[in-house]
Amino acid sequence: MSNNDKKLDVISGIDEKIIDKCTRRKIALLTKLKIRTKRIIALTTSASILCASFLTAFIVIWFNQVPVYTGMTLSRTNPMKKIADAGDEVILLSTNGMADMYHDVMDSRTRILLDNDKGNDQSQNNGKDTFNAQGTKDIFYCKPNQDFYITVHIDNPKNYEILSFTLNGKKYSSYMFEEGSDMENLVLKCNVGDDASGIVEYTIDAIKYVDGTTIKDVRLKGEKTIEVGVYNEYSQPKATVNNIKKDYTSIKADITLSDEHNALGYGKYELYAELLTDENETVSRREISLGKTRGILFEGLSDGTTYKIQVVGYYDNFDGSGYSRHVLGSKSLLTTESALTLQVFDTTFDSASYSVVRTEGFEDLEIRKLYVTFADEERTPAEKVTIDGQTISGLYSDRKYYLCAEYTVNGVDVVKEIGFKTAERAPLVIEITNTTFDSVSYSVSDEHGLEHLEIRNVYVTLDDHIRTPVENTSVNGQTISGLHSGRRYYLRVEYTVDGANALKEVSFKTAERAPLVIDITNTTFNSVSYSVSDEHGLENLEIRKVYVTLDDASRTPVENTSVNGQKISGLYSGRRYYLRIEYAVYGETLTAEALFSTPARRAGDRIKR
Amino acid sequence: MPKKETTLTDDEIIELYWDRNESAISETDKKYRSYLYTIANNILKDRLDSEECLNDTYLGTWNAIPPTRPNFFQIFLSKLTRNIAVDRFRKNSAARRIPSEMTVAIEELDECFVSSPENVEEEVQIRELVRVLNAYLKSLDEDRCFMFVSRYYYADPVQKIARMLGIGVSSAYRQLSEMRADIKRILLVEELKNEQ
Repeated sequence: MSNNDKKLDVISGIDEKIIDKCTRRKIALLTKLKIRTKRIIALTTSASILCASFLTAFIVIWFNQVPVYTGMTLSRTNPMKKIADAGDEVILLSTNGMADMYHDVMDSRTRILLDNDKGNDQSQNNGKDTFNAQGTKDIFYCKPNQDFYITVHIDNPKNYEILSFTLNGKKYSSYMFEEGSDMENLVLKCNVGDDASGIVEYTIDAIKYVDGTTIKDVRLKGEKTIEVGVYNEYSQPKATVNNIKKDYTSIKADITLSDEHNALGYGKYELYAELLTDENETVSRREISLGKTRGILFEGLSDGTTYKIQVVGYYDNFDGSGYSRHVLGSKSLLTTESALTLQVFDTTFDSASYSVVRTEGFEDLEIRKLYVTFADEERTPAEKVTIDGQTISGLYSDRKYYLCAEYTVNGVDVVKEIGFKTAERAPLVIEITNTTFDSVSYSVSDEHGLEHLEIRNVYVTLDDHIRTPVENTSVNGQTISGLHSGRRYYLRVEYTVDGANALKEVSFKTAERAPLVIDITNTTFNSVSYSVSDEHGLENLEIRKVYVTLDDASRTPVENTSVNGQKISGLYSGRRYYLRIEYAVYGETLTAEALFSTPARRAGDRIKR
Repeated sequence: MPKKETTLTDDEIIELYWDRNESAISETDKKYRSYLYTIANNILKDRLDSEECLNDTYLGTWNAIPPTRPNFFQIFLSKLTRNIAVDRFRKNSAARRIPSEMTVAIEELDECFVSSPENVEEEVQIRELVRVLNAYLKSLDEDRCFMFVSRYYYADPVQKIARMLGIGVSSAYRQLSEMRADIKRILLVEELKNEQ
């Protein structure tokens, strides 16, 4: 063995663990070295670029400042004439030369509306520079023959006069620019035309300006093309459904889909044939394509049921809703053959009759389950309902139900249902049997018997719009007292029937209470004596004040009188007065008065002190 | 902008070997070619020989996995490539081909691997040297141990070792020289002990 071989053997005999550890370290150090080298290169490159940029900028600024086109803006009104506010309907889109922000995928575009009809979409983009939405291609929507404005932006620090520009091959001179245009913002009014549909492009080219006596070209830096999406209702794809074949549990049809105006040609689309119930619930869906698709089959359907076939397309038709669903054609009233028919008739407020008719050939068709549900979305079973023979009972009044039958036809499990509605129940009848000046008596009855309902509360309210309950009444059987006389009230009955709360009310008026009777028992030249009585007894009323007034319109109280029991003195002779009594009955304040005259004073009459 | 190619992880590549999927080799080559080529070329200093060494490495890996499932795939490849390159180096040395970094490194070891008396078997000699060397390397700090293995096991140039460790080239040379002197000293002491 050579010396070198020996040395190699010795080195190769180094402990594996040492080799592994050192190799791992080597890999890590090599990686670090690579990163360090890349950083040094990047720093050096950045520094070089920075220096070059500064130098270039200096040269450009020092020597010349030619006008530069930076992009176009679309708007519904002339932005130079009126500045758009944030809440304004004008929406701006800028194509400010940031070409690398564009993607060429149609369905990722930001939706920006030009038409006022799509107000909800406007709120997303109103007055905002949409170039904040990085990486999306923006598109405008408008209708045929709709005007809009294109503003051409030019960075023109030396304010060179702009002569013209070319848009879609047509030259527009400065006199054609809209009011408010200046040498940095040139506004042009445009219209897509009557027949436009799909994407309409506007491409700018050849902007001319004057430098001294020479006509030169503006440097074009920004994005030169913008797109307008035009929705034309006459240019949409059309679908027809024909050659329909039906049996008990399936429907088959041919569908022809045409797209003469290439409305689907602007991006992604999906086409489907959908089968819906007559309540517009989607039962099944098949993917289809343009042209004729034969024999589209929908299976597993319910027999004797009405469906419709709808052809739908998901695409952007430029109506402002973006990539969305559009119905391209439909065929209604497709009823499968019926093996079994349910009928419900003779509905009352709490019951109904029904029958099950089996089609010839299906006489042995067995119904696995027959039941009733409420007509809610979940079809909640109506548990208290009983089906006996041909009668359904235990229903609630004025409610919608479904009678459901489950069975199998041609191996397909079917749930057939038929809707029905119970009759309205006659309302509770409240009869006011008697009213007095402070009470009301009533009776209640129900056409179907009171045993089907539960009266929860009976009370009286004022005759106001909020039906304020009257307090401090007392109830004795079907009589409520403690009311005021001559007032209009409502008697309200709250009750529960058919599992639901109900309310019935009737209006009534308490009788007028006969007023307090004041009897002038005696008058002298300076006093009056009186007695009082009440038809309903004095025990229910409280006399609050007794006083005398002059016989004038305002019933001016006479002062300095004195009262002794039921005699009032201190009056003048030969005068007419009113004796007034203020009193209260069940908290109601009333007034009674009686007219009297004091006799003339005679000679020798003394005033008793 | 062209799409960046993604490289598989080591575990994914090993799975390909276990599945006997031939793309395992191309994936290994894609990920580690330049690294392994450097190892081979340091030892062989010949493009064709180094390329052959890489092919032998891939074949060796294909034969080894399964049943082996390396914990650290890159280390596994490093050692395999090195050993294959060293075997070829031995053959090339015999044929007196162009010297490589390995040649230079091996010659440096003449300073420390003193020849033993003739009556001692080579195998015993080598075993003894390995024992001493391992004991010495275990006594070293991380940087020095790495420096020795990098230089004499992988035949990395001293400039590259210095750059990896972030030290000056002359410092690297000096430290390697010190280590060789240490080994020589230890071997002399061991020899004296044996004689006694």
